[in-house]
Amino acid sequence: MLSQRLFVKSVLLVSMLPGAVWAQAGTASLSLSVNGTTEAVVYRGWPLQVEARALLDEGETAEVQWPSAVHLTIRNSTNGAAVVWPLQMIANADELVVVSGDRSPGTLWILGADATAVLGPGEYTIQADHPAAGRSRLLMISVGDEPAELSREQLSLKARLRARYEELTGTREAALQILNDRLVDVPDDIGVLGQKADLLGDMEQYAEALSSAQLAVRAFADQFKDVTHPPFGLLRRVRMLQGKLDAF
Amino acid sequence: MFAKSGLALVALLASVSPLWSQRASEFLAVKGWQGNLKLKGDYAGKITAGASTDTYSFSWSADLQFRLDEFVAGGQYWHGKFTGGRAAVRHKNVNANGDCTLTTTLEGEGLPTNTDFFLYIGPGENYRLALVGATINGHIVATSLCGGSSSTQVNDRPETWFTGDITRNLPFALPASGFDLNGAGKYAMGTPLVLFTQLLGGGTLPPLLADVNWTFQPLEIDPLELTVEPASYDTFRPMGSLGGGVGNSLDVTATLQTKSGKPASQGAAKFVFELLETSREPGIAMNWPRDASDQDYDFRIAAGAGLLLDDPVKRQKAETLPKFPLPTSASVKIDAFDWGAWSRLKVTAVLADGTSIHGYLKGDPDQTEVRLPKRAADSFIADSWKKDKGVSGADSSDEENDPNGDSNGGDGLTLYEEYRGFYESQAHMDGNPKKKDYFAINLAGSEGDGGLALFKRLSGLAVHSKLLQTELSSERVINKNVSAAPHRVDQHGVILKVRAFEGFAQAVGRGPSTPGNIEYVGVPVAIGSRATLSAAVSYQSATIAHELFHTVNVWHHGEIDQQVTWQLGPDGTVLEGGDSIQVYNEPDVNMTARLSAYLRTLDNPAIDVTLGKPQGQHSGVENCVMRYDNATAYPRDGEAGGRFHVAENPGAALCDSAEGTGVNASSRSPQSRYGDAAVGRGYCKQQILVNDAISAPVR
Repeated sequence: MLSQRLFVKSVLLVSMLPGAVWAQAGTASLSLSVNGTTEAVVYRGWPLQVEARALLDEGETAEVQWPSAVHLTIRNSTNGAAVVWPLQMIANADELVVVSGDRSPGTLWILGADATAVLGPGEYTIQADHPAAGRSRLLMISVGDEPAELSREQLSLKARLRARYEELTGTREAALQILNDRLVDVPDDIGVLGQKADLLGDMEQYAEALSSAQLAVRAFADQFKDVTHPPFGLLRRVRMLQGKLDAF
Repeated sequence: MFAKSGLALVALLASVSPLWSQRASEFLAVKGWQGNLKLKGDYAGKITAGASTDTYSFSWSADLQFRLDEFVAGGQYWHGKFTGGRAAVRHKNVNANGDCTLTTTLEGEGLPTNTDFFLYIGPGENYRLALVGATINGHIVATSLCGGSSSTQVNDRPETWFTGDITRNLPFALPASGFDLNGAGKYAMGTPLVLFTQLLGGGTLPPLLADVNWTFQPLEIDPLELTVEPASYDTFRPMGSLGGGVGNSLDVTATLQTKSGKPASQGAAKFVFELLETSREPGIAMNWPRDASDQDYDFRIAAGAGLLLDDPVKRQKAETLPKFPLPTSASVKIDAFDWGAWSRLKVTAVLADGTSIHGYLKGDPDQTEVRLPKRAADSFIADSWKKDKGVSGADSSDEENDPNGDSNGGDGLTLYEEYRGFYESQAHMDGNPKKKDYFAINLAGSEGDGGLALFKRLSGLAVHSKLLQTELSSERVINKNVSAAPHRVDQHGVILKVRAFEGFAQAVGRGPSTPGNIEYVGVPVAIGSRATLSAAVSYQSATIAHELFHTVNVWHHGEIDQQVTWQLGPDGTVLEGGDSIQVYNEPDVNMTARLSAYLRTLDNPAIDVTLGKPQGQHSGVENCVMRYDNATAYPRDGEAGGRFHVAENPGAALCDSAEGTGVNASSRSPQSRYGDAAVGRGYCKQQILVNDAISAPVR
């Protein structure tokens, strides 16, 4: 279904591999985020996504065993006790990977809306560690119920998380439907337009993807009139899709 | 309850009369004595009782040198031997009774080697003398002449040559000053027993007094001193703990001893430990807890058995409770609550007579107030840390030059602040005293981390990017927890915030400038789409790194690029600002017709174009992250209205030149796209300025 091999595992803690040579030459660091941020409020009933990524820290390259050597720990902030969330790991096959300036292996853990709905409300910390990349920052996570009224940004994030979860575990069509539903309500949602462009690009619907990307650029121009920089990422996406279409 | 009973004991002890005076304590510091003892007594007389007449003569003399070099601490006395001189006794008695005459003589002379000489101190401000075995060998000759017959008896026996009075009774006052002990007086001598028994006629002898005088001179004075020895003093540096409790502790022992290092002759009624001018910096590190305002003491004496604290909260002074026998040493534990704590420890031993002996750091007699931690007198920084880091500057120094950047030294943090350190992801870390430190909170997930990692590699700064929001003050000041410590400037951290836009990052504030002028760097929400081994974040990393460089006053390569629109004109022409243009692909392929055809396919036959200009944002070194990469066209040399249509590659390095390279090289064909960087721009490595104390230059 997806173009790359995915390994879906029910894991919480991934054992470290013994005896491996973990890094050579340069050094890597470990990045960790939840729902695209580092100090997040996780709403029960929303999909949850944890992302770990090895980044080149020093030197030209570093080798890391990935992703099996990544170890994730979740704790209750109040009492420090380790807790178990039934995260699903979505990962490439395990291998020794070279991390460089333009090669940053990543892996995801996801949790569906049904599963987050039963998480205990409260404060949690999440931290990842890796024998070669060290320890990630400590993520401060607050789990609670969705507010009665969601802001525009929250509605956008919810739609994007739901769509991504569908993309990873269900069908791209379902994901696309969620994004389109959001755009019915807010046609100039730049984040949703961008994600839709990426999704359509993956589905090789390049013309539709380019259209969505261009709408995002236009929405950006309308919403951020006094910025000092152009939207490099959006423009680059447009150029890439134009290249796919062999457009001018 | 404990404190109350302890106080009562102290009061009780204070009310007891001292066993020794202050002078007595001073005399107990004398290692030994030497001196001279003289005695002279001569008596002659006659006693008649009935028919018997005794004619006698007694003579005692001594002129002796002594040395008392053995001290007995428990008895507070010295003893020794006579080392020179002579003592002599010469007695004679002639008893005449009718025609009988009995003549008895006793003679002895020599050094009384068997005599032990004692000098006691006390009670009170007095001393006493004692001699044990004060005899010399006497030779007795008794000749009897009676009625023409005579007989002689010879005998040897010990004979006392010294007065017993001094030994038995007499305390002598210690001098008010100095240590020489001189005395003289007349003291009763014992009746020469052997001769007395020969006084056949009876009768009473007059008191036999001898003139005695003595001189004692101290061999060497070895007074008591108090040494203070902190355990692991050379390596100790104070620590705090995240929750505000004790970070670590320093055990300190104070010991009474003589100056020559021998065990003390007496113990102390109490030891007093006092922390002086202890630091009270807010929080326990420069940024933890956030916005701290407490004035708690950073070093405190730990409560312990046998110790009375004067204030159980401040814990700056404590004394030992009475203990018998009086101890010659005492220990306390000093708790550290702050990574930058400093203080001075004063220790005093109070002797039973009230004498106070102030301690000094063992090995450094000049340091009577022991600096905590071990540090220079003009510094609050532990020597061990400076040694570990290989630095020696003043606490207030802020002179790192790595990276050199715009040649302004420092990172806004004083050496002391680098030493006291910071909390990052709830773990303590030191600043880097040899590199310029940069602090950031990344709320933007992997995108932000990717940008920070690239920024770190390219800038050479010591980037600390795992701060939590609770680890940066509300004003973004990373070194806000300061009171009396050396502080140069409020140095700021940078916050990467998620903002509701996609494909874009921006440093918001009055930048480019130093971190203090950057409100935040806005970064879009990035939701990971899939597990990947590719450069999923590298482009966004470059754009975020670009923005991060604005937070250290690195500017674009130029500012004059234009946003234009290419739209379909009449007769298939393409217009830019109303003027017809010709569009080419490099090196020289006219694309105008193709563009025109493309525009005709659009509902709105126009496209937005970024027109890069010479010395504009795209100029200079091609591979620099500060160079823009979004231009889609640039002017063709020699043809008004000529445009090359291009795509640019993002940079992945930081330039140290203004000269155009790659697509901007002057030798490039068909032409240099954007040329050298604008005047005053480029040389991005040489623009880096992280120090908020420096007014960031506008370029």
